[in-house]
Amino acid sequence: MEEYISPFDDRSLERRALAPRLESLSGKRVTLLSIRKPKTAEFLAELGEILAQQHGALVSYDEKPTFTRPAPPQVIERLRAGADAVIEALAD
Amino acid sequence: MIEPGQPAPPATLESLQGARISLESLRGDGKAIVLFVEAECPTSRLALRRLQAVSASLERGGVKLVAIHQDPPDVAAHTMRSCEADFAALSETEPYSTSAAFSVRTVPTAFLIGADGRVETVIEGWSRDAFADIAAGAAAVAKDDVDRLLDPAAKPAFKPGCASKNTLSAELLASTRAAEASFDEFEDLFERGWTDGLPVVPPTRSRVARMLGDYRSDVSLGIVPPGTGELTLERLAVCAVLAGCHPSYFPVVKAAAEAVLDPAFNLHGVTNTTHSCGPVLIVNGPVRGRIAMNAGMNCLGGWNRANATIGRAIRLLSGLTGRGTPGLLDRSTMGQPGKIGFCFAENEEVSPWESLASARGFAQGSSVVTAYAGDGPLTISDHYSRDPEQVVRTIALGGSVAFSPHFYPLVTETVFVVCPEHVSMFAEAGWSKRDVAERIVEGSRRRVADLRTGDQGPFTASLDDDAELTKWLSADEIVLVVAGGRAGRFTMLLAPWVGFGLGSQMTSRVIDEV
Repeated sequence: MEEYISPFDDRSLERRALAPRLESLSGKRVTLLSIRKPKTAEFLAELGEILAQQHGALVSYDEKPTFTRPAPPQVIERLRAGADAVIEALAD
Repeated sequence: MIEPGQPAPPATLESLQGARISLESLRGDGKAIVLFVEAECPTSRLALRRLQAVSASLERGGVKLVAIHQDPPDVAAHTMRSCEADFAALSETEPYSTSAAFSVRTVPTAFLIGADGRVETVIEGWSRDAFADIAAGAAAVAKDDVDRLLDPAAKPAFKPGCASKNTLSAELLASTRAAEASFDEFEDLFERGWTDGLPVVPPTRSRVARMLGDYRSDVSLGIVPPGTGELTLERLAVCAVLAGCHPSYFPVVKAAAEAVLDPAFNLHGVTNTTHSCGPVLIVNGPVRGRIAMNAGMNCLGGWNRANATIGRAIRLLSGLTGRGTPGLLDRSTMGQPGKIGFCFAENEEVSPWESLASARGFAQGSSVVTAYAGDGPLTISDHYSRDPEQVVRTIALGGSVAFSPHFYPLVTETVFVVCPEHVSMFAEAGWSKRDVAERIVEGSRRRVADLRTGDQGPFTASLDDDAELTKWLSADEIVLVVAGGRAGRFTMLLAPWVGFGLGSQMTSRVIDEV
């Protein structure tokens, strides 16, 4: 049988390790990232309150410019530097 | 059976790519584990699957892992893939003389061959501990690593194998040949996942070379979002072959790929979005005739090879090379049939207007492809009106449902495919494209009160009931393309994805003359 050529770029499959799981959210900096969909503010405010009151997280809020494109590197760097955990939170 | 201490018999067999390769050349100066396997044997598959985990460590330790399949190369390749094994593999067919020379009784049987060419260890069937000992001993793989790679708790720890084909009677061998014959290259491509759900053409090296023609295979067109695969012309040619393109379409496929990879098109978002849009490709210029594209009857409905396969090649590109497969990186709530592929040609021969390419600033006579992130077509029928003013109002009414009936304004380009009968009425009235576009914008004007359905977006919510809005901010946003059969008064709306500069912009590229 003749060899097939793959349409895939195998390098794009490289797996990256997950960050270690936090033992607890208490006292940890948790950033809720808005992707700027409608009604995000209401949704994230509710979620943030639950995380702060029931789990003791130090909640902050950030956003990327639009839901239609990937977050620019400076947003990713800001999240990396300023949070122990990030929740990319959708809405609609 | 060959016992430890005896020299391993010499063997030259076919690789899965068709080359003749000797076992000795694969082993080189080091050691090798030669593993006899067979496609129908579950224990063989277990061994392939589990040894894959440790193959890289063995190799680093100077032990080459080689599977000898008692199957033809295509069946052996399928076995390796389905076991997710990618170490060296050879194929042996009747009369299985290599298996006979090793006196193999069952598959799998593994022979550890030392650097001196003598057999050191023989393992029949699957034995986790025996393979762990080889890995730890011969390859000096640390015990922790062995335990990590070959989990001691994984079941089964032992499993006997199946009869080796060299031991079978003629009658039993005949029954295995029936199983080999059931291999189907098209089913195989479905199993690989190299398809959108329809059959694809096997992308053999020779087909891909014919698709590339004089183009260099290693030229990169950039990274395909969302899965960040690099698009070489070779991979693009693979997508074109899979889609069923004729090699003469490849310049169009290449220009279309360049257009959708333009950051302004935002292929990342077009693929990821929950919306139903997909790439719509519109072709202008002499290439339409050269590759017999359809700009007439049923031009949006398939049954023309160029229209159907060029669009499909671009969708396979984002789905395969870009890993934008539905459920993973394609998050579309509904999708629509145009997402299998959507490409058509403008009917420049019946159009009284400048072509889409000319309107976008390209020289007359050049072949151009334009990419648009469009939804499935909506038919706007008007067979009754005899006055062009009435027809254009019908088209405006149809267009005002784009994205959502209450979503005003769109603030993005919107494509209408105008049918020859409608455009001839506009031509008789002496209307230019601009004249029609302005009337469509005006015809979409609504009182805000009429747009208040359900919860309001930010635009209409802040306005009085009596305020008026048009669906489009200006005629610049109306993109008119003429296509379709000469009979029938059906203009098509190709609604856009999200506007306000967030979604996608139309992009065009000149098609190489080859």
